Amino acid sequence: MFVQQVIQGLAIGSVYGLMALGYALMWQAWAVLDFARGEAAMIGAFSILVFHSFFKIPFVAAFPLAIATSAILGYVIQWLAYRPLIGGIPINRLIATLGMGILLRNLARVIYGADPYPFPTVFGDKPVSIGNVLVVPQNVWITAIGFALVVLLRLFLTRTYTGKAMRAAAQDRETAALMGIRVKQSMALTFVLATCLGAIAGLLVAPVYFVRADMGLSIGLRGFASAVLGGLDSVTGAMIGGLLLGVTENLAAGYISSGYQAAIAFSIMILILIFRPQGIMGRRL
Amino acid sequence: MALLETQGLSISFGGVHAVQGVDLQVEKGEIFTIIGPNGAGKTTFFNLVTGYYKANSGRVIFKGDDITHLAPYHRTKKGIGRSFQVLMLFRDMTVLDNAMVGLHCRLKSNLAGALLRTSATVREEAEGREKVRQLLHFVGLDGKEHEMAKNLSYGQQKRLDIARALATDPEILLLDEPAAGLNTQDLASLTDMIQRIRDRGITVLLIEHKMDLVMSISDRIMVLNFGKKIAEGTPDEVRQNEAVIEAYLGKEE
Amino acid sequence: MKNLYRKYRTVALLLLAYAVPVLTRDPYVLHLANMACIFAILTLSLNILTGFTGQFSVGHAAFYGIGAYTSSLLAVKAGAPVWLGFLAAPVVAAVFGILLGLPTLRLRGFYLGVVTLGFGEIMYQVFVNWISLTNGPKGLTGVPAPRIGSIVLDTYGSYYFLSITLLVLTIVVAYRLLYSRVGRALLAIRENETAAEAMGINSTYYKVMAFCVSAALAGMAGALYAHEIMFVSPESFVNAESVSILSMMVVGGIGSIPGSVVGAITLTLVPEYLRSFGDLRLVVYGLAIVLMVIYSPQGIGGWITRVDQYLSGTAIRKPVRGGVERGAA
Repeated sequence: MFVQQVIQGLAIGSVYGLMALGYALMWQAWAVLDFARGEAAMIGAFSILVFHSFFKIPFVAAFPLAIATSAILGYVIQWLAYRPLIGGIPINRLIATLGMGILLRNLARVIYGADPYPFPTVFGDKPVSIGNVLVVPQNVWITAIGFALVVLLRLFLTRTYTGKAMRAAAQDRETAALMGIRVKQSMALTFVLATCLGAIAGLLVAPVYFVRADMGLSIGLRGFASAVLGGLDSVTGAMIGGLLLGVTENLAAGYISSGYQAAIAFSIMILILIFRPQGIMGRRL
Repeated sequence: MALLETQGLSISFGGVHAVQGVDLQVEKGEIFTIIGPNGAGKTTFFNLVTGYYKANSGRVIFKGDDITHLAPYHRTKKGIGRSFQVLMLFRDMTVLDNAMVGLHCRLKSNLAGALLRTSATVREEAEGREKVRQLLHFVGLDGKEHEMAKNLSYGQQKRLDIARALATDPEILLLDEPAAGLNTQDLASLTDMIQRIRDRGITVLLIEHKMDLVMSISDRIMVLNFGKKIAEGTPDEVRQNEAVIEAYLGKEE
Repeated sequence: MKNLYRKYRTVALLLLAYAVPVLTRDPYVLHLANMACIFAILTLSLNILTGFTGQFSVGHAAFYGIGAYTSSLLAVKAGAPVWLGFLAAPVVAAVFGILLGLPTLRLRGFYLGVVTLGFGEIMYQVFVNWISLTNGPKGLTGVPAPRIGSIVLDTYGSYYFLSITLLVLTIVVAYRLLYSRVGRALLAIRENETAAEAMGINSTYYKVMAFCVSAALAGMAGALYAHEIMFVSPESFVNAESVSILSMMVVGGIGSIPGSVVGAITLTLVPEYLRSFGDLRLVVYGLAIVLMVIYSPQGIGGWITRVDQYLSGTAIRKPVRGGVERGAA
């Protein structure tokens, strides 16, 4: 029971972690708490739904197509609503993201309706028993993909020129501009990257939670909580925050009450924040 | 008894001794100046006296009371006012309101008084405004009451910063480089203003780089270098001090 | 003309506001008028916290819900008089406000935001899951209408007089608070907390106070809501509702009192009248918010201030930020 709950928690937690990475990237590059972040997951899930379920494109081909679609949409979104507010009052940027979230969520509802779409499992949802523990292959895949992406992202940010430029632009816009980094382009790229991560999170959970117009709300909220838990300035922290939230939620559901799942998770989050305001992996404020 | 006294005041950041064992006694009614090269720990010392930093060791004593552990706002209430090196005005509030905020700890009206708009509150507000107008006049900001603080010139902002600190009705006023960035004309009126502040019975503790200003108005001077006191005395004594000349004056002039 | 305007603008607005039930008998419109008042109170309460004090909250619907459940439960389960509920709702909400304000000792800005978000989520789950008390997702029915003497306020029209009176009261509270020693302390904290401390302001105390006052007003709005539709269910207090309140504040203009009122009215009415557009109206709603912050960041409050200054011929009354102005009170 315990091990199963933990495994399930790690799987959903790595999805939260991917979302949290998006928040952390956005926080660093745009200095905004992006309330439309969850919509990236929704975009990703609907993209794969359209390509795989509607157009019957095989999953391996539909996957990159969905990511590409999300990336393009991400670029358009940041160009429309985020870029005009660079340098403005922070709260205005935040409200723009709120507005964008409402817009995207309801646009999806206009196009696809409010009902959830089932999505076929790709990785297998039949439990396999390993020893005396039942493991759902899907969960293992989700966790593995989540971890792999974190490692890749770290490598990208620390080893490649583009990644380094993105970090430099995030840390000090003016100096980065003086060094010849194209700051706005770099910010746009960060946005696209965050959107892709969100989209992957969305299409990973699609088989588990169905695809629906307002799916971004709950997954976005949890990703946000994970990011804050882990510390908004740390890639590793975001993932750890996600895993922690996922496992806590599942244990709370299993041992206390499934109704209070989120309440318990958030209570723990608030307590951690009060005692460690900069998050688990964050730098001291 | 000294008005303000520090005993062995020390703080370090990540192994660097920013302020180290500083003993200081400021007497009532004097203009006391702290000088020293950049990074000598002057502003850090101010932040220790005003409570923004917590000292690793040593004590701060004000009017005979140990205030080492009091919060900044509490020290203001006790009578320690300060201005800031980097301007920290309430930019989107009017000049009058900026100064009225300074009056905060001298007024009494609370939430209930504000909501019920009791006669005591109304009277207190009117008296407060009158007092603040006089202070704005004192620093030469007449007629600017309804300007936004951010729309003032730099020199005017500096003066508002001082008016705001004066409104807290301090017994000692800590001025952190008030002359920095001022033009010659503003500088002259600042010199005059500091003396007039002292004439009001307020003790002045000053951090300043402009040597002619320091030498002309200070009663006593303390010299800090690398967080340590290297000299203390009248302007003449300090001017002739070997250690000071070596550490500071010699290099600069 | 200008003197006339200055002298009578408040009276004229009040007359107009109180005349709504005379101008229309349509219960649907009157219900909307009530909702507009309720959201205006909520937006003002959020503005005290965010616009005046600079403390960010994205869980405001929680206080609204606490108020609604407090007064409903008192009336339905304990059989207490309705007015007692109206008194208890802000008090209970204020207690929660103080509790939520305490983390401000250690947390700032967005980190505080996440705590308020979590709080909103937690309260929602409590409303849903504490079935023995709240009746869960099915909601509490039979919330009674208040009565004044022998007059029962059980029509939307009669209830409106209560709604508008509480709104006027809230506006007065907001203005009096803003232009007082306490209000200046709140603004100072928003502007620069370090400098505020140097002025002798105990910033923790005032931040907690802002939470307390803000929560109390939101709690009052909750009671007003519960007795208006005579039913409460958790769905009225989801996080999306907090986002609506936040949007109203921004569209109205952060820090602007008239803006809050107009923002709340606009965003309550417009989506209703766009109902025939279905979900598309919410797309428009989202788009409007985005366009508003990009092209008119001072919000409606900024326009109001400008028009007011023009009509009254005063140029001295400068906006504090986002159009806090010295008019109308």
